Amino acid sequence: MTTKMINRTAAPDLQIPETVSLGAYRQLTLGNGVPVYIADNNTEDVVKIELCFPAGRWYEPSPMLSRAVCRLLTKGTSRFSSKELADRIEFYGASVETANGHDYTSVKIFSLGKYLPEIMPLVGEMLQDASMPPEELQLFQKKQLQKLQVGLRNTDFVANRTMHAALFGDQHPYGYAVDADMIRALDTTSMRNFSRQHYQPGLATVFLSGNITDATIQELERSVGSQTAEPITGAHQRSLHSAEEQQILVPNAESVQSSIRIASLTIGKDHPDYAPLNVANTVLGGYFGSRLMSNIREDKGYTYGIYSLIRHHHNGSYFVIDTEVGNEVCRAAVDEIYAEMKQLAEVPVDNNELTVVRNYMLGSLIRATDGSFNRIQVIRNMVMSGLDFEYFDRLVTAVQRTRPEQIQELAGKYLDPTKQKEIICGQPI
Amino acid sequence: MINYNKFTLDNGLTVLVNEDFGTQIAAVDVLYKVGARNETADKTGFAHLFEHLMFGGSVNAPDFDTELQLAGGTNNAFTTNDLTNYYDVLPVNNIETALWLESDRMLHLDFSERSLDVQRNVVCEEFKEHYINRPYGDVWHKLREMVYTTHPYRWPTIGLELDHIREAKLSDVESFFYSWYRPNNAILSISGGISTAKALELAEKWFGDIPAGVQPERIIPQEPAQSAARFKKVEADVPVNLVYQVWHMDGRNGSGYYAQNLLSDVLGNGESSRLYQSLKMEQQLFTDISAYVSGSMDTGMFVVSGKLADGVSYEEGNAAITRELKKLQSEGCGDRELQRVKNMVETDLAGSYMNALNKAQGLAMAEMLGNADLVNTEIDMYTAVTATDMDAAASLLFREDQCSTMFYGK
Repeated sequence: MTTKMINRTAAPDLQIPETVSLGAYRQLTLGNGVPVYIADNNTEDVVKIELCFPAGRWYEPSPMLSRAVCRLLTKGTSRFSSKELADRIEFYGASVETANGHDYTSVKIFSLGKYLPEIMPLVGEMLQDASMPPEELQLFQKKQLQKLQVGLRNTDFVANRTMHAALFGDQHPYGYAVDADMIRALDTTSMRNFSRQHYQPGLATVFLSGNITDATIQELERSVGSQTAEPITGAHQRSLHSAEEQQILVPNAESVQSSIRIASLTIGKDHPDYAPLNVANTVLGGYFGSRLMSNIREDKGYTYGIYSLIRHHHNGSYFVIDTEVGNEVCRAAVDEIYAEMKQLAEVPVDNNELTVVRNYMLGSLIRATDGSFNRIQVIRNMVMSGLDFEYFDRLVTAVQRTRPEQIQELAGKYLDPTKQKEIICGQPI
Repeated sequence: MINYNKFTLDNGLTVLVNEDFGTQIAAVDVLYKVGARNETADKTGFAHLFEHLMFGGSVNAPDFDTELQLAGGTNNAFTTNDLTNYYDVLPVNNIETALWLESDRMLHLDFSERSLDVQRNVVCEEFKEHYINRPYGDVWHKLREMVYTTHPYRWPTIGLELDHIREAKLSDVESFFYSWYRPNNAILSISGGISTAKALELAEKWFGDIPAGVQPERIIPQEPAQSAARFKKVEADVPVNLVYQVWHMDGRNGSGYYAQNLLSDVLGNGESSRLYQSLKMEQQLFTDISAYVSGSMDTGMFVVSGKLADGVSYEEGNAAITRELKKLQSEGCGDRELQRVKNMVETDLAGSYMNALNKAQGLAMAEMLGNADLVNTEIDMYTAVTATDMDAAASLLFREDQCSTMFYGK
């Protein structure tokens, strides 16, 4: 066989897109004013419906309530037990799942389009008439207690909860660490009250993806769009108290690894610096080729992985570097982390590295919008963070235009090693 | 429905292409038909260690990740007991970068002591993080070594012990590469906004000159039929005790696979499943219980696993599982139950191929099983299962002398 050998020494020419667009989406409003965002794809007859509600931790009158209500929402109505609901939904191969977050919670319906008329009335019933059965609460409590016990043995879990408390304060909805008493104190009456108020269909924001037809919208009108909501009562003013101490060590004698978190409160997506700061964060630890990963994993072999990220919440965002390392190299790893942060503020990023980061980030934005299931998540994240659709374009522009000296400046301002909380859980030697 | 075309290059590389002009990206998936089942008992964890080394650079592209990131792409890889899979996702305009990188490392990976050193450490930390430092981290080590006496499925992909990884030598690494990482043992699958003709032309351009290899003769020792029940108690200081019952089942291409898989759904997939309703909700013996299959190429595992509720003994929980299985054997599975699990599979499969990467990977996996068209026809296999097939599967699987039982905890 003779094959012409090709020149492999030079990389193929690259074309980096000048613009990245979010792709096709539609918007409409249900009869009761509920906003609906749609990203279609009709190759298969599957539909994803996500209903978001203002029912996250931020709105809780008491700890754990948000999670408990969210989990029990699908576990019974006045008419049906959890078994009957599961039977009816699963028979059609569909699923109705819930997820709780700091600010909002989601009810996610996944079904073949042809079965939505069987599924959506049940969802409507859950929203308006969830019964929060006591036996379901008991099961939930049992499971949460078990989970807590397991989690407390895990350095990763303990480091995270210690960090949240250190950043926001242990009384703050974003900061409190769940304990057994909070789980035991849950009661079905408060849960029913919370669900009646926070899961009114009229409070929903709806995201649709997959094969969306007129019939889908009609089903939605019937189950979600027919009643207007009463406004939510109760003030939600919370004061934030970060921990005094800068270094926190939680010993764990059994552990062969230590979990490290280097974290600080930071700006949210609505701040003009957020988009360029995101670029700086990517250089530091936001992708596989990042400085932290190159240094601490690829060069030193201290860890399986290390990342930095900015987590946005409505009422308080934070920056965190997150890794698990061998106990014996824990101190060395922390020192390297600080050195990388310092370096970012002191020395301008060279153009080659910045080009890699830019291209990687633009590619990420393109990938994030591939397929309607992915695209709708980008849309949901923007809408639920209270942003307009120009945010996506601003992000693209920031990625294209951020300059080395700007990264230096932002690193100095927001990623200063002397202003971080340092949380270590494990057995550092 | 995924439309695709299949080609074979002269060197034996299988090429699959799915055109999808609805996207600006391309997914490039390279599957090597080698996994932990191809390892020997004294050098376990090798296929997975090798996966890490594949990112250590090749002769013309010393830095795989940077080149791909420069092209706006991302990549990752995973190793299972049966296969090793690498994938790249990037703007379709830059697809050649992925093909250049993947073909260069298939042609000549740049082996070095330095890269081996670093990746040995990284994998050792991965071993510690996931299998030692975590409660229940060694469950699959313990379970596999009981369920399999002979087949290399006896060990998980991370390997039997840290020392096998610590002792890996550069010469082992090279011989592994030239045995298994040849084009005739690989599948290249492409999905994205590119024409089939163009994709094939580029595949030929970048992969066509890689010499074929000689397939190693190693024959995987198959697991003999089990002749007696097995039992193991693992003492572990964990907060929640676990019960496992495991049976041997058909491999992915076995005639009984589809019915057996549906049977696991009847028992333990979803809140209306039998084990969930009876043992968790009604009797409250478990706080979590499920049934699932390993989906392996060779003799697989049909697993029932449950977390015991506080104060419930292992024996009590275990006996309750056995009662449910016997009940299923004696009364059979009802029509509505069968329809439920078929509907669940239908929804699942319909939602499985919604982006370029899922399509490229789905095609490659199906081709590894022998027929890429399974991505479109698998649903028919499930639909064709009858109540009689289900009964036959239940009576074949759940025989007392075929069970491996493990109690894990205090």
